[in-house]
Amino acid sequence: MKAGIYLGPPMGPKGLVRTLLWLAVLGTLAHGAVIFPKRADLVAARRRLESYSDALEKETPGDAPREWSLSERAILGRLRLIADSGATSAIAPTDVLRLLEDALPDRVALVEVSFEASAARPSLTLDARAERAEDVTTLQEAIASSPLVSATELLSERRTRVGVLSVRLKVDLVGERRP
Amino acid sequence: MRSMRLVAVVLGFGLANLALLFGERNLSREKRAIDVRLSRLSEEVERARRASDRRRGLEELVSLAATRVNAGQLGIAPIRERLLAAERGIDVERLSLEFRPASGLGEGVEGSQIHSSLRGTLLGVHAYLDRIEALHLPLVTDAVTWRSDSGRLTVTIRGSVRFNASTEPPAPPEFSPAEVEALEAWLDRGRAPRLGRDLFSFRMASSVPVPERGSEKRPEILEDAPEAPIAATGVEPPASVPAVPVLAGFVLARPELEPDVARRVLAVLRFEDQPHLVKLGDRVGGYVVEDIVARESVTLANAETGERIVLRLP
Repeated sequence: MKAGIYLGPPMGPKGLVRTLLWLAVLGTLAHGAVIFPKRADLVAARRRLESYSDALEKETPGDAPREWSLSERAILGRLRLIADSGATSAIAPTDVLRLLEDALPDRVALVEVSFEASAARPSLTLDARAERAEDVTTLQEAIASSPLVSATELLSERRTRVGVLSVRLKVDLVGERRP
Repeated sequence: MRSMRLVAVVLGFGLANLALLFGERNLSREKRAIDVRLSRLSEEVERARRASDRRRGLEELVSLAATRVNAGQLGIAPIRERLLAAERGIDVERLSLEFRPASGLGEGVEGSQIHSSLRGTLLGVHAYLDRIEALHLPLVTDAVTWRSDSGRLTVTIRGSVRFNASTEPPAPPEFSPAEVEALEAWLDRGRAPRLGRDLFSFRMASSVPVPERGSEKRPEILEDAPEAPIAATGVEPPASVPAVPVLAGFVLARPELEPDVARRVLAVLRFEDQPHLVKLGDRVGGYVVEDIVARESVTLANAETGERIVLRLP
């Protein structure tokens, strides 16, 4: 006995042509389904290309940018000097006085302040007189809370003969000096 | 006959499929070419936009700087005069400046180390520092010391200033976006508010009425001060007894910095509330400058009587 799958009667030439016809129709439809979105993409890409060309024309108009006038060139030259000097990132002396004014308690008076800005890290050394030890702590805390300050250190503290505390405080400031 | 028609239809569909296949390939090729052009164009557009933004930012910076910076020629003499003019009308009784050459600043750039010393009240000294900062010079402070001494402050400042070697404006330099931003912030920085208390005294300044911040009247001459020329000579003597000028300080410059050697030691005399920068032979009020001993004294001679007066720093 022959085993196998029955596929129906053998296909005649008509059946073959019909099958080919179906395949051709299906192939055309499939191609159409692929090409249609591709064509739409292409149209969109062409439009985008046009808009980019327009934008480029707008951003780079035919003529070169306006020449700087003589006075503008002088200002630009000055700005270059300012930028190179490091002045823009430096802590100004009035900022130091403002920091001290904000931090100094009523019963503390400064004697000498040294602001060293040229070191790798700017710093302050304060010599001050205080009536009470708590005032020194308040001063140290107030200075440390400033955004300009990175660290404080009490270098010395001694009581003078007249009963006033004499203190020396080192304050490291934030920021680094440009070379 | 029918079969032939069917075959023709099949062939027609086959050809149509072939045409579609070629069409699709062409579409894909064109799409790829457009994509390449698009990415190149978008880069160009982005680059052009960035350049245009940078240029616009730089133009805004220049117009801001035009209102804040005096772009006149810088050099030892103009800087010296601006630093002196800023002292006018405030409580600073002594001001000395010393210029030393600075080196290694780059091609076409010159500079000078400035050592200055001030003596006056805290408010006077603060106002002076504020005025100098408001000049927006290429000046950077290296060190400052404030020392209290019997109710007055002595301030020593060490700093440096840069200027172009040539008098011609240089070719427009390039600025990075970060530099433009930093310069804008620096130029836009407001003036320092007046101090509300004497930091060098236990006594609160508020025991004396202190004006509210922002409402206080600033000392005269602010931005305009540096523009005002300092009279060096030719001040007419008062009609009656000639008032005697007061020695306010000295300006010292190394000869290599000052082409006019005769001017390398100058004295600052205050006369009728105005600072006068003088050299030997200059006349202030009814007096002629006879001798200048740097950092020490100035000898004046009365132009009419010949009487000599030695002025010393307070």
